[in-house]
Amino acid sequence: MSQECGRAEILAGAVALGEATDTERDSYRRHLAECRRCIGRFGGEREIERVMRTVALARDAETWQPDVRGTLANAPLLRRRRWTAAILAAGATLAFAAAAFALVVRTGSPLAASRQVASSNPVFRVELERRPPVATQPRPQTHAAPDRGLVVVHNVVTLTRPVVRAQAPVAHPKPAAAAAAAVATTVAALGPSARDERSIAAMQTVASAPLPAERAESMAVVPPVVREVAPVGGDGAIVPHPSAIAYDEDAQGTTAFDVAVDDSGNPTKCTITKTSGYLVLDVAVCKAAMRARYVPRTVNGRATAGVYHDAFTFRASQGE
Amino acid sequence: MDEVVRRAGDAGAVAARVDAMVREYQTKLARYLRRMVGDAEVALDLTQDVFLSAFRMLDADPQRELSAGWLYRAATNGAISYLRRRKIVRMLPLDRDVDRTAWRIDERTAASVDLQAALARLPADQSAAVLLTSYAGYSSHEAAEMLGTTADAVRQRVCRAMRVLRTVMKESS
Repeated sequence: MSQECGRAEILAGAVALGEATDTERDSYRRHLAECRRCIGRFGGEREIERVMRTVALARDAETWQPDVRGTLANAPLLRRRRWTAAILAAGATLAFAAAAFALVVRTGSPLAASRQVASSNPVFRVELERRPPVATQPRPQTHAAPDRGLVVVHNVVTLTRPVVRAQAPVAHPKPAAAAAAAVATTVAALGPSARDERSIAAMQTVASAPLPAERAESMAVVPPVVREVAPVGGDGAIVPHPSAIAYDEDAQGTTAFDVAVDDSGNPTKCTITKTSGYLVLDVAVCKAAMRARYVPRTVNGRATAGVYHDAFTFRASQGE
Repeated sequence: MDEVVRRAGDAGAVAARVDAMVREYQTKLARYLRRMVGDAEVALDLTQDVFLSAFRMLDADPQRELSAGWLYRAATNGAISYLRRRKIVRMLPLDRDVDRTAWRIDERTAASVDLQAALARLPADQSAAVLLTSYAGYSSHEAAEMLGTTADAVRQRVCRAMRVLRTVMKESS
């Protein structure tokens, strides 16, 4: 940004606050006449005033009349009570710790004490429960495809063995029919499992199925302008990076997921709607989805919470 | 004995001054803080903290002058500290479950929603600049004094805040 543009930014601020003198306004106009970039960034004087009127409207609409005097009168006392409670709690903790220490010193350890009791008293018996160790390897799961249809854009990630990094997902065009066609091509080439075929069929059904008559009629009467949630930066904004174990395991499959997005565009929750069978792939997809920023869903221009649906297909290849 | 009477008189005067300040500024400060932090309950807590600080300050030195500028400066510092803490806490997943939709009717006007959406995207110093000037009605020089910066810096922050607000308005229209 040049020095003139920096000065113009300050002048725009003065215009916004209604503090600009005539000379400053002239200077701002002259700069805008020469600098197309600043027109786009700050706007003309009317545009600035229009935007700033929003603040005044919001201020004038305020009706909140809080009264803090009642709570304020009790606040110092409450704080003293809080301190007293904290000191008492700390004292009790110390006393308990000292007692526990004394017990350990006298008997060796609490575990040893329980063993002694068990061996000396015939009424009580201590049984040791052994559980099988928890499996650490991700095991393929056999989840059925969800019954409901997904409006899914299918992304394909190829996991190449020697290169320990996933390729960027291939983004397909958004319309569901095109996406479903792309899915069908890709998965057919791979020799799909029955589970994948079911999910693909569900996607194609959603893409091609006509709306029910009564729903179409109601939409025709009051057509709400709805813009669905989309990631900022387009479909390529979500890039999963599975951990190295995915390459060792030759993990592959399709992970479909939903991301709940609040009205500010922040992702709040990721749900796997169709697992790839490999936890490591599902986790990588959800991590990437939660890292992304989203344009929130809007209904008649008003931002609301919404859900973003998407899917990734991972393929393993041996590489060169 | 004279000393005890004088102290009692001072304490009464301090309480009266704080009470007058609370009556005059509690609504303005609470509304300002609610816009800063985006939460009415937190704003009330922070407002109380500001008046408690004022009370302690006057209790220690009854002759001290406390202006509206001092109250807003204390409020701004409190809000910035809270936002910093919240930023840290936000990294924990449970914070995502907080319900932010419990807004009153007057907060659901288009202008109010747009302003709050813009403020949520702004850094605290830009939020403070735009709220102290356009919302609370102080000049850029007065706001600069409260924020410990220059009037030009305040104007620059207002301009940047305005750009974000403009983007939000474009998105919502």
